[in-house]
Amino acid sequence: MRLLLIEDDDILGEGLRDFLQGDGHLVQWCRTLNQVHGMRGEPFDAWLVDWQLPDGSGLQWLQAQRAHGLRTPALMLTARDQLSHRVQGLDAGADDYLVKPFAPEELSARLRVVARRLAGDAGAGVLLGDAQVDLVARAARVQGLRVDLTGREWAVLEALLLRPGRVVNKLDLERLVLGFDAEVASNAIEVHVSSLRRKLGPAVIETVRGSGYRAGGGAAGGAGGRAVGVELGPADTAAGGCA
Amino acid sequence: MKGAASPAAVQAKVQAKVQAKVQAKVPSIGQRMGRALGWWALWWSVVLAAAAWLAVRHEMNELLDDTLRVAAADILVPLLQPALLPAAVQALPPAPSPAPAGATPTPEAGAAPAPRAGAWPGPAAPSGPHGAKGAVALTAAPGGRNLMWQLVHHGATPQVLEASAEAPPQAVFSAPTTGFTDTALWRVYGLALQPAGTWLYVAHAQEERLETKLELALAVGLATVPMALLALLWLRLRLRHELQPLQRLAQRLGALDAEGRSGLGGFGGMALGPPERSELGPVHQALAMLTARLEQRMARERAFTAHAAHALRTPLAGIDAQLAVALREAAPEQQPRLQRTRTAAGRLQRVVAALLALFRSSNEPQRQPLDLPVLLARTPLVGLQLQVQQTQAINADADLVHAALLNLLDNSLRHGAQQAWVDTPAPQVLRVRDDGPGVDAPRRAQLLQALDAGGAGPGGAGSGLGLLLADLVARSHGGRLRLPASTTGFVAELHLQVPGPGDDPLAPPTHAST
Repeated sequence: MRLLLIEDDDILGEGLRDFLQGDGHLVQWCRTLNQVHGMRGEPFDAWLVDWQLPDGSGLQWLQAQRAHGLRTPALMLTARDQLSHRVQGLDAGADDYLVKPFAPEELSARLRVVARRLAGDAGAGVLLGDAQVDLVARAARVQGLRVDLTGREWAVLEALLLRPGRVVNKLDLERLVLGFDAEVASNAIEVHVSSLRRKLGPAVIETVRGSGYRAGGGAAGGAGGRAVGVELGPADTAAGGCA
Repeated sequence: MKGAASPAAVQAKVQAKVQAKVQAKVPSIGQRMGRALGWWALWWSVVLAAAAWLAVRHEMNELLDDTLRVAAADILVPLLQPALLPAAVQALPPAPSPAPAGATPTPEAGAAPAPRAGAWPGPAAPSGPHGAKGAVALTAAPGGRNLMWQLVHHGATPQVLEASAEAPPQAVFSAPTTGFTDTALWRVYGLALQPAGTWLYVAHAQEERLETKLELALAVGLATVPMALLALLWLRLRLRHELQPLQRLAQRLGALDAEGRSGLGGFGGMALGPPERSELGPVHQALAMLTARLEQRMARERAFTAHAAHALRTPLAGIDAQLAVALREAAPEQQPRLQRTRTAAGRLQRVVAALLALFRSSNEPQRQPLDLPVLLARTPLVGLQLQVQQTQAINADADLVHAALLNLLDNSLRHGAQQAWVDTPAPQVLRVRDDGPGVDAPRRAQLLQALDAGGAGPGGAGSGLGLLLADLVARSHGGRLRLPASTTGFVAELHLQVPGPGDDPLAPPTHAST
């Protein structure tokens, strides 16, 4: 998953980033809201938001995103542990609420819950042509035989399966899979997609000509669209200090 | 910060104390006003009765004298017509000049023109100065005889010609007496008649006159008493009614929570509403100022707690995240050490969470049956041998008790103990003993004093955070931390229930020591 981590504490931010990257996620870590504004237009699978930030309230930022119609799953990571705070956080648009201190393993587990919810059936194991793919277990089989996928290949498959049946354009897919490395290798996505088709069968990912790619959910998703949580408009090329 | 777990119990205790003090010492406004009004009513009755007496005595005298005069001149004289007079009167020689001895003769009577014989005379002109010197001393006024008359002929000896039934048998005066005269028993009106030497005396009993006047004064005085009592009653009711805003103010104050908020959401002075009486204005103002200061302080404390929470929780989460990453990256031989570090960090997280919970007044301890060996199994105290034995049930907040025990054991370690024992001498009582140097009696008293003062006492600075936190945990469960005397090592007892009456933290434990 491509995650936006907004956390001002260096020790925690770095620890979470490294831990989540170790889990196979692509993490963009911003220390301030100002840096987050520099990420405008970037697609993410989930936001991890600290409430108290040096230049503002993470909760208010989340409210503003929800007001703009962005539905990217958001997890509040905060030291505020009172019931009223939890309620306030969830009411403001957070999908989950983790009180510091928490174990990174728990955060990881909750992200898997988010993935399951977004992927629907695909999360628990979905048939894509001849291939059976289980996102949560990170297992793919073709006719009962296990197939090994690289991290990037999983990332492509995950980015598409988290938006089952919906078309994800190439640019967004690049961002979701490669982050800012997308600039460097512009044909990387095609390479991974063809590799996936070779390993799992040609039906695993559908190319929607002129729009992008689609996987899972059959033809139900029909119309082309943008990835969940992507704000329309040109993407800022600079990461604004987010690492 | 909260001092005890059960705010309702604490409030009830404080209320009972204040009420006892109020009942014991403070006078009641209602009673004081009632007493004052009672005395005022009594004085009012007495003064009114005296005024009535003074005013009525003179008027009554005049009235009664008029009665005598009218009775004599206008009623009796016409009734006593010459025809009715006994012939003896007609035959009597004319009387000499009145009052030959003793009684002062009245010149008017003496100079009165002689009426025509046979003609019924009018009343003689009233006499001048007259006295009671010649009055016959009557020994007693006949009972029940209040008004009497006598027709007396003053000859050589006074002779009663006619008399009312109530009159004494002998003449009231030995010498002719005209006008009003007081004797010991009677007030007499004398009227000279014709033929000369004949006097009509009409008299009131002195006793009766006095009684009449007294009765009148008494009636006036008594009439004011019920009025005064009614006024007293009315004023007391009125007073109670007027004091009701004060009671309502007290009720509203009592309904405020610990942070000065009313159930309706107003704060402090606002929560009390506008004053119902102008006299309550200053009280409202003072309370508003007090609660405003309280609010400021609460806000500061809340801000501090929130800040402390953030400042403590975030680094703890960071440490755990870093250790989790390090565990993944580290070589296998480093894993156990990192795992122990992570366990300790986790413990620190729990303790900090417990302490933060303790510092927040809204949270009640989450009581649950505790298994001490399990609870303390996750307690690493390098250098301290720990023996845990649980024989009694402990129902308490696991995190808080764990935090308290950790602090007490840490205390033992810091003071040079090498072994510590945790046991349960009684239900809801946890005891921590160690083989350290312990404390002497004066230091023990000092420590307890510091705990009583919430760490602010003279021994507060030296007592450390450990004992204070353990005491706070005990208090949050409604109990106290006790420091019983011990010949060896240091002993601390965590009492996790509301103490019974007369419980004294300095007193030796009631249960048998093991």
